[in-house]
Amino acid sequence: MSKEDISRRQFLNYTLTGVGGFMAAGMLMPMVRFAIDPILEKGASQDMVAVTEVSKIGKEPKRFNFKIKQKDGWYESEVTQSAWVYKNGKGELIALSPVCKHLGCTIDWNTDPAHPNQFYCPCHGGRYEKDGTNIKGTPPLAPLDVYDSQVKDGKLYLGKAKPRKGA
Amino acid sequence: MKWSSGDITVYQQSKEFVDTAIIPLLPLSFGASIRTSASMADYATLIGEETERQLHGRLFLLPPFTYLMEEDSETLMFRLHSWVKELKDEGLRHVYFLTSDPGWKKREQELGETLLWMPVIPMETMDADYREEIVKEQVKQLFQVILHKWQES
Ligand code: FES
Repeated sequence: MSKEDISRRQFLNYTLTGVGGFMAAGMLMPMVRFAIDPILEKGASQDMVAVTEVSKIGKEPKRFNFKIKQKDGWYESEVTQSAWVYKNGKGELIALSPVCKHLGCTIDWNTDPAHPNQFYCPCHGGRYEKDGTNIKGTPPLAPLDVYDSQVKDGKLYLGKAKPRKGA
Repeated sequence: MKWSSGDITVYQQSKEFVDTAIIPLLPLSFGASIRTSASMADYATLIGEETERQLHGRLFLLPPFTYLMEEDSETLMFRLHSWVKELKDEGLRHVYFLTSDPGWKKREQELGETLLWMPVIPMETMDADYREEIVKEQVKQLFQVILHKWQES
């Protein structure tokens, strides 16, 4: 009897400390947020990341990698992203996301010998035109996402990749 | 795909497109090999994740198959084969084992599925960029194997 009592008390004790610990964390969290918020906000307003010099961009899509900060629940980590970048006929810079709109594999440029000058997805043979338009009859149902982009001081800055309307 | 609730939802809707599974084989040991076994885990995890990122839509990265380094080899094989059976029954036709544990290299024949084995590279002291480069290089090679199998089938 008494043995059981103790263990019950212990149990309560443990649980309560647990809850208490949680509450303490809850109280600390807002303070931490205050401490880092200004930095985060600055980051948000200059969300664009320098990716490459404009002079390195040609007519042929080329893959550029860049790093962005990503928040994953509690911690922030750096993730590498990539973009297919080229200059189109009108001289505009185009930056396409490499993520296939079917189920999310990473596409490549000009790797399918049967269909040159297209983006090709190795997973289920999805294909896209150079401008990112999905090709009918292949699995993807939407064109590749396009990055927000901006040129400053001869450098290309990219922001978020955004979906476009389907073809 | 990863073994997470979000990806599972997608998986259930698009099962017919997912036919490949990677199982990381991670040994566990607290003895003299504790550091090696941890490095093996780091390495296989990084490589598994990068491969998954690139082939997300067709490949399932499973939770690791873990075992004690001293585990009796017969039980080990038995356990592993029952994993494979489960996956095959599910329709995952291509099953790969990803590991740095040299123990598997010696028993490759018995495995029955493709072993993606690579010697462990201790990465804890490397800087992040270099590490990324090495992982990318390795993943490229795995790609060759996986894509080739896909084209065959
Ligand atoms: S994920 Fe690209 S075609 Fe299916």
